[in-house]
Amino acid sequence: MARLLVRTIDGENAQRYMRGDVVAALPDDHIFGRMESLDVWTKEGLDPAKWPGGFAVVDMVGMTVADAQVYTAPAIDKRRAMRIDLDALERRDPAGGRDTLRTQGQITRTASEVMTAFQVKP
Amino acid sequence: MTVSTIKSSGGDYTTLTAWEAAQAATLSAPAEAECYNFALDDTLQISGITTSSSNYIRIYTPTAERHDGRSRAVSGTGFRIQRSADGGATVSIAANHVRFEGVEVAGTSTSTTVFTCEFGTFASGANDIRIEQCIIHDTRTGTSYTANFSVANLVMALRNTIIYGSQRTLDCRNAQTVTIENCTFWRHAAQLGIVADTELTCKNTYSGHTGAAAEDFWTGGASPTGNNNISSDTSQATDYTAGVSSIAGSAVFTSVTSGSEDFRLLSGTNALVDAGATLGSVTTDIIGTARPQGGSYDVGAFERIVVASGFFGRWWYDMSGVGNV
Repeated sequence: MARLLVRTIDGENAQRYMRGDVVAALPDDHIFGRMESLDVWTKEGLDPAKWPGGFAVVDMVGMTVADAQVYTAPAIDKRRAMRIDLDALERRDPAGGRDTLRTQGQITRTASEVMTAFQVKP
Repeated sequence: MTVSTIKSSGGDYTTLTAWEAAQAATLSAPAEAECYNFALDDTLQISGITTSSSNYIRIYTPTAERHDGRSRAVSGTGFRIQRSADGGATVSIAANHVRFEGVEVAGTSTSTTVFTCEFGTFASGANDIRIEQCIIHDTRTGTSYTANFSVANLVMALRNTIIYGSQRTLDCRNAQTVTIENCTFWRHAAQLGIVADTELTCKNTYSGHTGAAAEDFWTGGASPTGNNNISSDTSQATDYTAGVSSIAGSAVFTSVTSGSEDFRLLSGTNALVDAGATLGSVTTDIIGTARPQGGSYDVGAFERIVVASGFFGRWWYDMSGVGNV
């Protein structure tokens, strides 16, 4: 399984990461830093309300890290050629976990669900 | 100043890419990434950030976490950022004020240029890129450069840094000003070393290679300036040879063997020892040893340690047999 670290806010200019850009694709046993993951921040006893934010973790069940690296490919004038529609991804949860991205900063989906949520940037 | 830790676990970030992504587009204070002892597979692009001489980006490894002058692959220690996938640089810079200190930057694929400054991104008279006490290397098979600084308006300084690989070392043509001081460059093939014109001032630096004849200090047009440099080969017509003497790498370094590179200076008579000039901008070597240790600066990234003994009239001896162990 691959873990995607995704930017959740737009950068201030075109050279910065934008919402939905995959910053890094990592193996499923990767433990993020406190500034990357709200879950880690909270487990360290820090106040969730004070987490700086800006990132979400998307776990892709059934996709290898090597295959997930395709989502970190840059474009000529952008950090990433593709973006993931985080809102669409969240709506795909049929079991009532609709708010895990917004409230927990992470979500787990199958590879096919995540792949469907990706779009090539214009 | 904002300092963030980059660690394999327990830090602020686990990748430099995420750290860079979190930086403001305009810095109001220095942004510093303090990198700890681990190997990071990452691709770092620094771009879209407005810096200044006082609000710069600094990526460094604390002294206790640093390399010992050898690659982590050889010594097992230090912070290393590496890119294993083909295509793209391990580190690319498109910001005006950036400093790297005590970091190993590697490319482990066959086609990665390891360290590059991006074209068209540097403002004339308003940039300052510094690479100090770093190790930069690759395993490429194509004939491009391990480090590419051939960018208009670039003002850059490399000090106490080692660059090695199987192909060309670095290109700094077209840059505005490039200062190279007390560096060691090595190629495991008959390829070009430093490729430069008048933008370069190079001092106390060794550039060498194995194999057939090739330019260690290539200059195709107007020559760079500098002094107290040494290469393994000054035979080519397009070599910059002013004041450059020729010394084989195997005669002065601990190991120039691919995969076990060790550029600490051999004990005993060594042509690099005390062969350098005094440089006000360089007071230590790649691992922090004060310069000079003997009568003069050594050439290359390492300063060989000598200790005064005072016994039997023998005033100086090599403490360990190998410099800086």
